[in-house]
Amino acid sequence: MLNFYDPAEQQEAPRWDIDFGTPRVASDTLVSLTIDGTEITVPQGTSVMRAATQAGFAIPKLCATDSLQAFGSCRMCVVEIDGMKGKPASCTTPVSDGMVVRTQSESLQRLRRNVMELYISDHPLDCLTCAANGDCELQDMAGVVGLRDVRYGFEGENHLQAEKDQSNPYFTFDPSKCIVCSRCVRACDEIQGTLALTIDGRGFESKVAAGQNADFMDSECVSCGACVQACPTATLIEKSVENIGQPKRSIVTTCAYCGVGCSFKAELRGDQLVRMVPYKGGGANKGHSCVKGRFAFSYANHPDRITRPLVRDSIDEDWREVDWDEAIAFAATKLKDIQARYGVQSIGGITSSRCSNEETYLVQKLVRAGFGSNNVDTCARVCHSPTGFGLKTTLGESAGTQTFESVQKADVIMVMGANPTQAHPVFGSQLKKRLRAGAKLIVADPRAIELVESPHIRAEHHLAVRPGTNVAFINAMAHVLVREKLLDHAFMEQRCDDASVAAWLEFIQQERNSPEATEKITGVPAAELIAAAKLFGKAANAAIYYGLGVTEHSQGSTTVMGIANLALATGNIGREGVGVNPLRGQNNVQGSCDMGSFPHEFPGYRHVSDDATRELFQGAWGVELHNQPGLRIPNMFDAAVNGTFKGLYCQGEDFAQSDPNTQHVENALRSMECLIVQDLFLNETAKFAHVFLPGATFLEKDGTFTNAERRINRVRKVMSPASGKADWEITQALSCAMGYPMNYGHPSEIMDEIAQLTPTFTGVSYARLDELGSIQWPCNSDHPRGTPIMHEQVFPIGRGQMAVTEYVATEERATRKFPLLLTTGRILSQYNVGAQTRRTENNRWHAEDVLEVHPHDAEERGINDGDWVGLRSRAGETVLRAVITEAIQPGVVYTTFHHPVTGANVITTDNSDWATNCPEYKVTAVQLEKVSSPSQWQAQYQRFSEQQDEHLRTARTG
Amino acid sequence: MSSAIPAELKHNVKMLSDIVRNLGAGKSQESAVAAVSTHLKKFWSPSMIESLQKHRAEIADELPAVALQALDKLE
Repeated sequence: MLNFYDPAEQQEAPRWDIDFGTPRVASDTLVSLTIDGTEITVPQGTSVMRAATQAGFAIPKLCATDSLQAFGSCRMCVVEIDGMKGKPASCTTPVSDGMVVRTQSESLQRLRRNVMELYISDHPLDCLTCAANGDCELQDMAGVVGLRDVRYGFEGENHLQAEKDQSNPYFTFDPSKCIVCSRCVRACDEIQGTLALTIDGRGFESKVAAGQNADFMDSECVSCGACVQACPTATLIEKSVENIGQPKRSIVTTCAYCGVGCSFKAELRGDQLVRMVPYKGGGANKGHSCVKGRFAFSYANHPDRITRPLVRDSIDEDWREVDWDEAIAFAATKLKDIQARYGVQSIGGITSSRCSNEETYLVQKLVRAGFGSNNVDTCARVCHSPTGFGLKTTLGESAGTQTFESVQKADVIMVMGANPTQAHPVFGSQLKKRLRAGAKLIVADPRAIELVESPHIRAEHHLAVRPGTNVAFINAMAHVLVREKLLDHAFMEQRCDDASVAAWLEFIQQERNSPEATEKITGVPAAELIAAAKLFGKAANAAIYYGLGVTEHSQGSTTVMGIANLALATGNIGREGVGVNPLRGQNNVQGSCDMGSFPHEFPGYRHVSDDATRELFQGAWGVELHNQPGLRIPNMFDAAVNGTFKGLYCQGEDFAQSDPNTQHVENALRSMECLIVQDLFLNETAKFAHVFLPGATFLEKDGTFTNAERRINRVRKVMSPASGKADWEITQALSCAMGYPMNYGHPSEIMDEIAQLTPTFTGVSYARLDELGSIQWPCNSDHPRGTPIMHEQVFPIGRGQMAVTEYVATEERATRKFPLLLTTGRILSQYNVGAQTRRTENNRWHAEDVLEVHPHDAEERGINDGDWVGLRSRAGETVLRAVITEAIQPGVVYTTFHHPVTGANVITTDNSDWATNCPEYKVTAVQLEKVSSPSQWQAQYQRFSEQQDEHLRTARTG
Repeated sequence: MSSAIPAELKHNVKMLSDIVRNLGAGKSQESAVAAVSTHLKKFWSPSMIESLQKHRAEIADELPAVALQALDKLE
């Protein structure tokens, strides 16, 4: 007997390469049946098709695929079942105990052939020239059923002349090849949740339509690629496949865009990347993707890519192309000279959340051991550093508590200061799936984000919190829980520190934390907040997801602790469906923090003052290490302006565009004697650099990224580095030149060192990652397969610490001079500073940053949709185009920061989170006015950029 | 913020004020001083603390007593 229900076996050897036709069913009840004479046991609810495929008897199919619910329309998968009349579809027929199934018979073969004949009678017979030749399920099935002739001819009415839609930059839609199996429509519904596609018309007139019969580009389609993936023919196919041909090999790797950490099969033809196909075995994405990960990879071969090292003595000079040895020697000599003249503490390094764990580990090691200081920081400083502080303080670990999959068990979901469908789109789709299944949603956000109302989704409560008042809001939520007796006292008694609970209760019950009192501060009506809090407090499983709308405030850390308080007070920690879930912005925010990139911590979040930890690292690294924190990014800039910080090694980060108060950052960069930038392009920071070290894309190197669920995923080298070196090799070379030798032969050796020195990583190795696919840390002897859900029994600090979260108003507030509040965010098609996505066709969706203005505020100022408006704060001024929308509340304006010329951070101030210095990007007091020319800064920027481009051009052309 | 404060200290003075406003709220003076000094020691580089200590007289009017006592405690 074949027994396919062995969970351990499923975990050990999942067969992601097979399409089982219908989704896996989880059930503790097992059912035995016989298929083609073989007995098989599967979970109750499994389809006959899936059971047969598991037993090795693949049944012909067209409309079925295991990422979608069974549909039963194509009639190819018919079978014979003893005791059942006719020939049922195996995809829609569940197994039952004792069932006897035959998948092959003369009669079945004839029926399937007849069905296939009908399909082919309205399908172009251009297989030899079709882009899907060799990768077409219709072609395969025609072969399987033995179709040799089409009796009906092709003269009758058909769809063969239907017009091809080429509007989307990444894929085409050719309705002449469509068999109307609905897989694309169902993928858009079930997987992506956008519902952009439909079957229009009936009978012979049935056809797939985007939106209201629009081109794909003009429809609601978000270009996630789910429809392309689901299509069994060439109807929906990547333009890259049409242009290059079918890929011939593939390598599983991890996307380098957002913190979801999707796994992809990079499919190549020779060394040419043909397409990125979402990998079914991906623990985070389970076969889904977004427009960035799926399609936006052409930046890797963009002409702007710099592949030879560059050096110069001054930023007013032309660059000189040099070889690697000269560039590394030039950089090391400069840094050593600076240290000799200004002291050891006069230089530092910045790691990036866009780089791998191994790369960030090496940079912090270089700074601590090679430079001899703790002046190392990461760009997580400006996004999720408050998460690290807040969760470490309350829960004892600087990380989210759940898997993404956990959301499928949540009953009430609160999304606060996050916009998952834009910034974490694959998780956004998973969230929408759960909401369509009945979970309730609370959105706390100044903007009406897509989740507030979209097809089949409607938030129970949209709490439009005024920017800068999150703590007052979260306190009021907790106040209501206490008042309504919705606390989980048993959980708090068992799991939380008594004294902290008592202090918190005493604080939170005070009248000033009531929704009636906070209403004036937050702008959230008390009645609405009370209803939301009751919904949250009464849920069997309530989960909180939050993003930069929480952290990037002067009280970002306090709000994170307030969120943890809510979870602790209601017992929503330590199981599936609950938890505190920071949605990380970039691909390796979690990892860069884990790897000791912060100036006060070694890898594994251990303070540099801890003697035992320091001795451990001193022993392994063979040098004495400092026991006091180094400078954080904003402190480095201050010190540079003050003349005490002179040299910086920056790997994969563009703070001249991404960090607040651009003028201050630029002054700091101009003050440095040696700025070394390691990146793909001459980005905004690199324009101020003296050394440019050409980095490698994620396709060109080995390593690991750690996503927002603490999932360590392998990044696998797909092609050779264009510059000849992977990033870890560059850091290693610089370290050696600085006099601190490093001798790694492969990133796996770096991970082995990380595992040796970091208690939460002791079980992690490349071999183990290859074996398990991915690992969620902690992974050690207590958790050899990793830890999907944290804090199930105990917190790393023993008991949870509830925090007193006093609301302290930000000093950045609306005044007569600056009466509006600017808040910033992201958009689906662009990624962070846009260095990658701006160099792809994604620009077609978002070619410029715009300013969203409420109609009332626009009318008061005589601003019309599309007008140029000057946006002014106490920090600076810029000009953008206005978009009038009610998505934003009156008194608040909104923009993105994906294009450097926008200068969004010319406006933002040096206000920051009190605990971590994370900038207060989300609150800047501003004024608007209609203008007709660019701002002074923009004009300067334009001149400076042209000058720097010329310096580069000169180097390249000799 | 007073223009008497050296420009290079303004940001650090502001950050310290923010820490006091957040960590000191609702606490006794003694507890607030302890919390603020612990935070500075844990997260601030020594050079930042020393620069404020060195210019204590110039920044005294701009900082609450808790901040100054925390700086004194770290001497």
